[in-house]
Amino acid sequence: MRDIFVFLGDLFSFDQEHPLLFVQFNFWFFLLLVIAGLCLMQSRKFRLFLKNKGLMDNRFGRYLRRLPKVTLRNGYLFLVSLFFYYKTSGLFVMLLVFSTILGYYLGKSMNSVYKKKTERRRKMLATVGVVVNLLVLAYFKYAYFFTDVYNNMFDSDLHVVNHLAKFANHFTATPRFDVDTILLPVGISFFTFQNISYIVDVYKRRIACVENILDFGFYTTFFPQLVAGPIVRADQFVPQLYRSFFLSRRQFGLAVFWILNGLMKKIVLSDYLSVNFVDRVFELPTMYTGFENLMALFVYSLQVYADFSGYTDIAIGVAMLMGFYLPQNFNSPYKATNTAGFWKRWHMSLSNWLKDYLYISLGGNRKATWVSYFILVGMMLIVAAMARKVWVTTAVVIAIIALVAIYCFFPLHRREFQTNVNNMDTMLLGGLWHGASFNFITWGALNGFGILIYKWWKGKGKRIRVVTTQILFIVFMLADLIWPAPALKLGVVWSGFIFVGTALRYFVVEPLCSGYGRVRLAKKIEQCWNILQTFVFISFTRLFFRSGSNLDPSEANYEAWQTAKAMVNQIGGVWDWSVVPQVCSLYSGVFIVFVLGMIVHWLPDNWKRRYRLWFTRMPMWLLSIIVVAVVFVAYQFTTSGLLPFIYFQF
Amino acid sequence: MKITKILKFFLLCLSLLAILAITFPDKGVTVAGKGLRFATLHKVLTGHHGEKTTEVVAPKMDAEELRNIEDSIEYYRMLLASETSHLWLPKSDYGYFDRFFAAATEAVEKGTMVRVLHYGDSQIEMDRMSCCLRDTLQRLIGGGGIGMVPLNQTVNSMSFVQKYEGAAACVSTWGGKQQTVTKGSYGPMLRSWHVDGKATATLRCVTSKSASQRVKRFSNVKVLYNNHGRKLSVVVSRLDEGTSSRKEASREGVGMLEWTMDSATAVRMEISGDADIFGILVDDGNGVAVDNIAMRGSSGTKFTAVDSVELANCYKMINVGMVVLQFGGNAVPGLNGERTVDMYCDKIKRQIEYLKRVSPKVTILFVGPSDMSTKVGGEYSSYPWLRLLDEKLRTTVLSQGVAYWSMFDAMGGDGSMVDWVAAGKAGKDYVHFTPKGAAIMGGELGRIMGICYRHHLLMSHKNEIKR
Repeated sequence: MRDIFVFLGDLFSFDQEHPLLFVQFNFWFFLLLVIAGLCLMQSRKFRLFLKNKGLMDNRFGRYLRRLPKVTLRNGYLFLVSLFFYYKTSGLFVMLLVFSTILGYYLGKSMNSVYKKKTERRRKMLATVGVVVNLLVLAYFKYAYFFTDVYNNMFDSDLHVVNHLAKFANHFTATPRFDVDTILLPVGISFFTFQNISYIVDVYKRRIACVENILDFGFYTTFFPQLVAGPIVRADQFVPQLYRSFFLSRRQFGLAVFWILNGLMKKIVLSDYLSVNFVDRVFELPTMYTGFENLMALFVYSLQVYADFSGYTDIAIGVAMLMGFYLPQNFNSPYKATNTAGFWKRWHMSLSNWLKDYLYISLGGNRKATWVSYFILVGMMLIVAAMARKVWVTTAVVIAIIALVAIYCFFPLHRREFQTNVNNMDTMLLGGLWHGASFNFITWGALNGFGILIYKWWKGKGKRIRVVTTQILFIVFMLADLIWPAPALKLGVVWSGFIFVGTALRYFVVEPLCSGYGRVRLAKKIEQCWNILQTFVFISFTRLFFRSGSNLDPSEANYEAWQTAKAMVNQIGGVWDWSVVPQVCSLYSGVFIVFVLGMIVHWLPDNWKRRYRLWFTRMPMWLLSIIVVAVVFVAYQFTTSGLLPFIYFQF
Repeated sequence: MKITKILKFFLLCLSLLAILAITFPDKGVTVAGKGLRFATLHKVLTGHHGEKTTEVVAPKMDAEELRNIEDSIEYYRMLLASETSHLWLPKSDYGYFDRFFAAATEAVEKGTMVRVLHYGDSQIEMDRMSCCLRDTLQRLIGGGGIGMVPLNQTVNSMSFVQKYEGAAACVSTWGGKQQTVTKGSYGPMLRSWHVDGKATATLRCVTSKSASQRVKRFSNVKVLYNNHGRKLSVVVSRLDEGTSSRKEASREGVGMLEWTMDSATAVRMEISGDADIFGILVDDGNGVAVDNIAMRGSSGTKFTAVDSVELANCYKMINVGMVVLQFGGNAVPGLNGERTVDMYCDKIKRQIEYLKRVSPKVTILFVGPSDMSTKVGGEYSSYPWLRLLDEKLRTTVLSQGVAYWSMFDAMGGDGSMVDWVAAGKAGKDYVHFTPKGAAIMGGELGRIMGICYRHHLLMSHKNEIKR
């Protein structure tokens, strides 16, 4: 009995160290209560009971009775979601309430018929909405980053001060809040982007504003996707607010499938790989060999995918159980054959958001505005300020001169150039959205380069491709001979890898498979090679992504860069091949799980569709047994402390 | 489909899971050699309430009482004797470190350096822990610089940047691949580089803000070698000024080449000839130098492999005042009973005897292994023989007249590693500290040495007054 009281106490109180996670029993009990609440709201008997008891005769009861059923449901889910956020982030729930009220009133204020006079006001309101949301994000997420940049630029020693905490302490006359640190509210990047999307969509008249604050509150705070997405766009989700609950038997089966799929991905793949291998290497890269460091990069690629897509799968399943549909966020990203394709399959809700609200706003593939150049040059200057190295500053100056030269002297390619600038801006800001450190900018820049190089590459013929890769390989070789460095050794291996692949494709695979019926085989081989190449590239860029994760923001820039540097040194250093079999045997469990995970990931889409369909058709009793079996299997992989989802930190 | 049906489905699943949790054996079952387990209902309901939290606790005493005796010797003795110091001094001799502190003070006065050789396993790699000890001692007594570094630093240090080009063969007393050269010619780092031809090393101070100001410049560079009677010449060029100077080994056997410079931040060394290079000493000012000598994989039982005469020469030449031995962690996974613990302790005893024979005046501090966890039934817990090892090492070391600091207790004792991992102070291998954790432990060691130093100052002051 005492255990039950402890459990209920835990469920309803806030503990920063133990938020509600999808992988904990507490969450599923919470969901059970939420669904029970939804059942009560739909129950006529319950309404009759309230009526008979006279509980609906007061003013509040009369107000509730006047509300449409769906609004009542939305209002209930809004309150439940606020509670969920409180459990995750404590008093930051006030920030969420502020953000909701701001979005709601701005939306209402902008909802007027078209008149020239009101248009200016609407534009001003939309600007206020976007700017306030970005300022909130900047304050909580980028304060340390900007301070670091300023300190680096002017050699000062400024420290972050939490003015909100100062104000709260002054207001409550107690030193309750720490004024020297700014904590990052969980999911702030997601809900601010969601709010911006609503404000912009209402301003652009893509959707009508939401009339009731309970409906709107539900849209901004819906708990399955609140803390780590997918980012729900107003035009996709708002229409669902007004629909009554509907779930077919097959959809129910699918919801259960997504939940179980997500749990397996998170616990069996992500947590297992993380605890037993990836975290160890990334925490102390110099303690491990070059081979282990390299494997950690590949394994991390699967881990981060399993973690984030696992979260999304559970979010989609949970939302579906309540009759709501969240957008697809992943489409087997490691099946992508190039970087551009990867970003169409990875974190799709963010990619689409950035495309619609940033890339197109900057001018897309039509033009570039001054903002486009400002962002690009600004980022380069930040990099120079952070690096404080003569060669980096020189490279930045040369890059700026090159940009100006291309713009001025190649008018025929100007449009292409402008598109590329917008592309690069989007990737750089996308990188910075993930985390406030130099590493995330590097990560974004590498992905940006990946996309630009692919765009250039796809239009080129056989000879140019072979010659270019060959030249690149020779350049890296010479550079490494003159200035031996681990990073250049990596360049040699990577360019050699591309060169050999390209040469083999044109001079071996294509001639051999030129006969009737073999063309398809050649295409398949080419596809596999491209997938492998993209996976290796994306895994390498993750070096900067993972190094920058889970860090104290006040030290993020320095720590992250040191880890990345140490890993590059280990991978690019001298390898002791004799330890490779030893490492493989030591981490055999990890590598087996990794290989199996990748095989499942690469299964054809129609296979996956087929087994999903087969699952949804199962009878309820069998489903419940499968649920128990999956939980039992997943439990065998759990570690003593369940890990939070990676994307919670963003 | 009605939502009540979903609720019923949920209730059914939870009930089945509850039945499984109640009926499944607490200790799990073994199927085909694999242990299967499942959460108990108690664990599910109480969750993290069963967790234990440990942290490094600062001594708590009555403030007024403390204020009254703050400046007295008794106060520091109380601190050292308190449960929170985790320091055991041989025969409770509070003046155990006095000889070292006196030598350090003398070094400051005479304008020389006295060295602390911090030997350890991978726990101190990258200058972890040593940097904190160095910072404390140099702040209290004086001195600067990164200390002694190897010719080729295979694991990057967070306090110093090194690059090496050349084909020097490395020989060490530990690790898988050992090459034997002149018998026992390993030097004070227990590892030497045999240069036969040309080798270039670049040494550069770090510029990061987090590094101590004391390691951001140096004024003295020395090369410790054994040329076995053959030729050796070294050219040192300052990279920040462009000046260079060449020196040749004039004596046979163990020797040292020295360059003094004013506030240098980077130098390049071109070594040519045929000699064993034991280390490069990068110091600043006068006082204490702390050398980080990380020996990955070592359990600290190979000091006896070094030629005693050569080691004694080296210690004398570089003026070693104290040796810190931080070992035990690598022996832990191999322990399977009290007998193996005794065997390891016996080996450590022999190392201490050997070091005392080599350099009788050197003060020795032994730092015991940290807590380490291994997975048992899906849960991490401390290695079974770790507590006994810590206790036996303490007894052995004290019986040899050497001080012992228990890192195991300083962390919080049994099971503390799990909390350290959860707090980001130790890595997910449940063995090594993260830089954050190492800074905490190094800081704690520094704090203890600080107390000892203050005690020494008070005692010296008292003796002066008496005189």
